[in-house]
Amino acid sequence: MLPESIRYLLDRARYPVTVRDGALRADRAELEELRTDQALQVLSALGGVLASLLFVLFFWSVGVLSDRVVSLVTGSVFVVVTILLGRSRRQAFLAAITVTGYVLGTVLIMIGLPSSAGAAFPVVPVILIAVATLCVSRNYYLILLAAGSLPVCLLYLHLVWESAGWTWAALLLSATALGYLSRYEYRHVHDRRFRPARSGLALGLATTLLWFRWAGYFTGHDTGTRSVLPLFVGCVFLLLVSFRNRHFFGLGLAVAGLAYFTAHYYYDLRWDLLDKSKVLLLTGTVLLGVYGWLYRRNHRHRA
Amino acid sequence: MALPDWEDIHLLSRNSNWHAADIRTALATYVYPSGADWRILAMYLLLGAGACFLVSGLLFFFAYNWEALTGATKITIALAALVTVTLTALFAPLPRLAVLTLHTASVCLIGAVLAVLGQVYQTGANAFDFFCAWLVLTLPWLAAVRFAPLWLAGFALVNAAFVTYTQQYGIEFSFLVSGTLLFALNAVGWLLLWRWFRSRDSFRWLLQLAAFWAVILATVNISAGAFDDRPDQLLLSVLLALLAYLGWGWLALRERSIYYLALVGGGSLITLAFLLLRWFGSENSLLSAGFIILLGISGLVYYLNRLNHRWHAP
Repeated sequence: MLPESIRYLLDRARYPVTVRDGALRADRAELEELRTDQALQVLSALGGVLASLLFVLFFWSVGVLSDRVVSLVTGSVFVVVTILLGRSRRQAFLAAITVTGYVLGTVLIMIGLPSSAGAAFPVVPVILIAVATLCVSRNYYLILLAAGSLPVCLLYLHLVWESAGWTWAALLLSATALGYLSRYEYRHVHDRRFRPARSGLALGLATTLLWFRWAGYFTGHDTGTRSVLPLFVGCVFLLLVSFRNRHFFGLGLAVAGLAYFTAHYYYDLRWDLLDKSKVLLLTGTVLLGVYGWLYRRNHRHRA
Repeated sequence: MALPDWEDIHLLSRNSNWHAADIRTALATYVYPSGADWRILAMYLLLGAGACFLVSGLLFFFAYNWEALTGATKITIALAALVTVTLTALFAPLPRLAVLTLHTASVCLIGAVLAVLGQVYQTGANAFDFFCAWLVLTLPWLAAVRFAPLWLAGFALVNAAFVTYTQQYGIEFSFLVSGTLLFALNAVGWLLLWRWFRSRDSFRWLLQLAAFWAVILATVNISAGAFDDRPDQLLLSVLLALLAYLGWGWLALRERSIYYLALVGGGSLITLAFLLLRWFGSENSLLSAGFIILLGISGLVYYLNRLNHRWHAP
């Protein structure tokens, strides 16, 4: 017997539907079994990152990291095993181990690359691992980490090659991918990778915006960050897209980003206070004017 | 009957030949926000961002001309802002949320008035006096207004006042003692919040945030303090944290809340790992600490998941 809410959907379908009854019930039971409280999800992810850090320190202290071949082989084993185990949904309590395997493996591979390969080369294995994960894995955390790492790779290229084009590319990549997933959710809603990929991209976009603001400090050049407009436009875009799809993680990131960038505007020494004051006064007046107009219009409508 | 949600749409689309057009309609009907939801978002965004930008623009303008203003003008501006916002909150026919937000703004403006007074009269007031006076003047608002963001501001002021006190008057306190006192202050603050507001849903996030902050304080205090050579103080800190954690554990079991159990369990495991690093200080302790975190959190999540399923089984 199908659940009532699903029968309700079937009753309203305009085109004939054939349901694989047994598969649906099994899927639902599995989903129910793996359901985890949000606090536990966050705890698992944090635990995974912290454990990775401690293991990297351990490998460093016992000299494993100084031997590039050992580091590369150990990292590859970690990544391959983690991705293969992540092909199916896994019990929620294994999340910390999954995160550790992925992060630790990737870091060890990056360290194990030959020193002659060039400073930008570490992004190659990270991108390859991310693409392989996105293709093969169905694990929530692995997909999230893989999707989030792609824009971060482009930011790293900005740091190495000191060309702001990479940050713009990261911004464009994450925003376009997020916009696509939001617009065409109905094509991918069946895919288990949809939700983590969306969260990973939202995280990637937020990281890119943060980098956009601070890139000048890290690269030593004020490259490509002459305007604060992309920061606010990016946050508002994330807010609208997340609100449309009821994606609360993205919504939280957008609100936090807006609050951070607004507060930080005061300390931005590239403009004097009077110019900043004029921009804020003008924008604030326009926004309140639109609010007043909408309020009156709604009020009239209701009356 | 409960209306279908995203999960139902996901399950049906995975296990049937449901047409894309129908999936799209289902998402639009049962998941996506309606026109009314978009209007509410637009109103909140326009009002919030507009008010923030306008007030910030005014503040920036005065900051730019600050040096050119006389002392009396500076104080008048700050006081006028406080009085205007407070009177508007008290007497203007505004929606409830707007009134509560204005009261919170009044509390923030008290700080601005005190800062201006200190600057104009060069009172020599230090940071502790400033935060302490701000906190005392905020008390009437805290007593009269039951609004979680305003209470969050009060909570932040208590923390700021205590930290500045330890930096200025309590410099003889060790890291562990000041950290333990700050943890105790936050734990007591949480207890009071819980006593007064536990039945209000709008305060739930504040209670969770306050507990989270207290656990962070205890974890950092014990983990970093373990490297000081003060075993008696470390023991006291651990015992106090243990007492508070037991209290939260008891509450979590009583109220069937996974959040507090996860918080206390996670904090304890991280603390334990750092204590291990402190006591053994070798390469192997890094490995052991990593395994404690990894296996401990995996085990904790496994147990809490089972508990959660048992609590919320249909």
